[in-house]
Amino acid sequence: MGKNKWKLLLIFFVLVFSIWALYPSYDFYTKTPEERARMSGEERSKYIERAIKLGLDLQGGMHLVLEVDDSELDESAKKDAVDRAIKILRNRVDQFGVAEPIIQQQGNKRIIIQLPGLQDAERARNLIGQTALLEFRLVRQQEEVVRVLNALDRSLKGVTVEGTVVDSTAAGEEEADNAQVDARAPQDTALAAATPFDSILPTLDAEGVEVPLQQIAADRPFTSYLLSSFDGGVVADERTMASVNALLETPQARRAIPPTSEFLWGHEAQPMQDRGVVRALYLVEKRATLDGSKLIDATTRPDADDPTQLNVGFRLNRQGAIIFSRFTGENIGRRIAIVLDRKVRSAPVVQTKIPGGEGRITGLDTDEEANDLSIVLRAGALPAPVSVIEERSVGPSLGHDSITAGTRAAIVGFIVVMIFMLVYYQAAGVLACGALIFNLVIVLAALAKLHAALTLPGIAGLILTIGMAVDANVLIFERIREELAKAKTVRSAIEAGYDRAFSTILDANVTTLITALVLWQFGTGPIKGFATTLSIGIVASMFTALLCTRVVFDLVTANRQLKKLSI
Amino acid sequence: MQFFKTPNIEFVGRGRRAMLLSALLILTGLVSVAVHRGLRLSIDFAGGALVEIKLDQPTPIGDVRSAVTAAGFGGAEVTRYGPPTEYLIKVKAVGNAAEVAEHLKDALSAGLAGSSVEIRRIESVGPKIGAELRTAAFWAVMYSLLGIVIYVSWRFQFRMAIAAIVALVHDVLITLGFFSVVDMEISLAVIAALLTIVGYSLNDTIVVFDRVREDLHTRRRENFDRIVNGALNETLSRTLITSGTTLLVVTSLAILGGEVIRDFALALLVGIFVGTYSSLFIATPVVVEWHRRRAGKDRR
Repeated sequence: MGKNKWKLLLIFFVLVFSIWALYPSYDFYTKTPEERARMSGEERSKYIERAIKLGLDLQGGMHLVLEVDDSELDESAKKDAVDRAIKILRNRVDQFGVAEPIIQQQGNKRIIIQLPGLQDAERARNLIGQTALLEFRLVRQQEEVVRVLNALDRSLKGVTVEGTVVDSTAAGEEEADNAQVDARAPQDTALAAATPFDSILPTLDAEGVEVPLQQIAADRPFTSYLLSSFDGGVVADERTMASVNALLETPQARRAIPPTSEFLWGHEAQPMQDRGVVRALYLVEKRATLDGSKLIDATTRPDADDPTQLNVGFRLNRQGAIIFSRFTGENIGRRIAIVLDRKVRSAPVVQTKIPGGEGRITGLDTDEEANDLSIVLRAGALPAPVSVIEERSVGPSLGHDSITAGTRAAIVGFIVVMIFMLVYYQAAGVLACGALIFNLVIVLAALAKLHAALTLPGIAGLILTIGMAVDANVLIFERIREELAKAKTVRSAIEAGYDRAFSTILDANVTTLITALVLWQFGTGPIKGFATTLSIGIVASMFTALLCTRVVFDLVTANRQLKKLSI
Repeated sequence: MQFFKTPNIEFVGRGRRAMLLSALLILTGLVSVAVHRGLRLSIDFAGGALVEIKLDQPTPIGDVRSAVTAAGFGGAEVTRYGPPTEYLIKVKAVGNAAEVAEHLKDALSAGLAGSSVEIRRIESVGPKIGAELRTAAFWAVMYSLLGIVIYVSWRFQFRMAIAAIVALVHDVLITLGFFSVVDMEISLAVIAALLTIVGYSLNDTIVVFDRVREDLHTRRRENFDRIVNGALNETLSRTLITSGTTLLVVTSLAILGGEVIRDFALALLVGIFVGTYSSLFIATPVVVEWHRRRAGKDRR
């Protein structure tokens, strides 16, 4: 009897602990959405700390795996590139306003980001994925552009790339844009000032005979892809972008472009009269005079000319302001490109020296874009570009449906198994059902205490646990029946049944546990959830079957001489 | 209530016939894999993008398909996913998979005018990750097999460990073969189901081996194959009841659990069925066969 007292105490303790661990979850999930919405942030985080967490697949959200491309960094920068990237990403995500984001390193160069309950996946992806490296670079003047183009054409003769040559001889006058250019409010005047490219590209040979297009392509392999030029660059048809890039990548082209300059595309394609959709290609200084590391603040503000549009105003620190002031002072009348992630945002003409270290980025399509740009500029540039290599996003409605379906399957499975056990084992079946319910409570309580998220595969694991948890009971009951058939007394049959079944249950469960643990080790997110619930379920089923039901049997048979056992 | 009072079914004697049947099933699976040119891998392993959409009114699959094709994804696979308002679109990986998903979403919103498109799920897996997951899944299966061999050798006999592994490989091959024959995809969830089957089938086998181990002590005079057959019969009702209850809950999961979990539940359903069969007809006969040959050698 003394042994049973300790067992009873242990069972009582586990039961109380489980209920205590589960109460916050019960309290939280039985609240109506309105009540939950009314909660203060502090109260909410207290609940979320203690209640069972729902996985992203159940509550909706976004799971991203990013890879940091540190191939361009030197050895010392490589070391902490991922750490710095995580810091900056956390900063961005915090400002974006997502509750309980998870940002952590995985392996060497990867970062996992989980954003629960997120609505606008596209925006989040843009916010996270961009490097946000802001640079100010001097734009080359027209004579220099022409010189480089001629050098390119000479050097690229005979080089072909796949792609189409757009008919560049088609006439088309640019619509003159009378945009005001002042130094404090840079305007994108690049396309407006474009001149027809025909002035550079001779379509008539020396004797006035028209040269066929193929001939032009052969003589001027690079410029034949372009439409027109302007002060600081050229304009190409959007569709030929890939071909132009391929040409610029060739070793011949690299030789032709001076090492201090490089071509950068404009950030956005624009329609151009009679020419379709075009994009500007700027020739800029390779070295950035100033970059975003000197930026201390970025905010959105309405455009001076069109108050419905938002611009992003930025402020530089003292050092940055001094550089910027000198830079603008030396280059009055020339263009400065504002480059974000190697795309030219705008290239305004400097009118006066700008001493205050303030400026604006214009030409943003939506308020959201302006907002997000100010966030990424404030948070700073990533030390190296990142790419999204895995994404799993679940909308809130699918998550909700999954919970409903999963819960229904679990309840139906649970009830069917219980009915079977009651019919097959009668009174002993009642005991098995009690053990099954206790088992479920323990698994859920363990999930809450371990802060493990309940995922859809986790629910599946729970359901499977129900099926497997009866196994231990079945093994014991079948054994007791066998012993009873040998005409043993009820008490000795129970004793022998438990004793003999013990090693079976242990060996069978340990082997299952081995595979569950391997699965946990291998699994990502959802699979881990499945392995977790399965492992806990196996351990819990051993506890309920070997300890709990045994104690009840012992207590029932202790004081009475049972002639028959309802099993 | 009791299904079997004192069953006396010949399992061991039918071992060879069962092996023939299993060999046939495995062969069918292998032929199917060969005909399909390998297993059909989901984007988890092959890389690519998947978009699940919900429309606000029933739309024929042809319309969805043409909208997807118009968006420039001619090779995309469009399947209905439950009711005629829900569809699953899968695209093979081309460059940045996240961008593909984004593009597809925009194109569908534009292409299916008059019906609002809700994006329920986006998954995209880069080809690099897919290859890594393939390797990881392979090693996960290998490590769990190794763990089992070590544990079973320690607690039972090396012979039994190998027999258990034979049964497990048998179960995995037949389940994979089934997936190939019905042309279903192998996803991460299916791999999880396979590992669960491994654990589950082993559970069954261990229960039988445990009984053999026990009976070897109590019935020393009997033939080894009679002891094994006896052990199978003694544990038969437990084997069938446990498999039965597990099949009940898994069936409930397959029917009610929703589309997302259905592949997983189906793999489990097949695997548990095959696993129970292999514990009775494959694992123990392998031990008996091995024992017989060893005994023959010893005599000579």
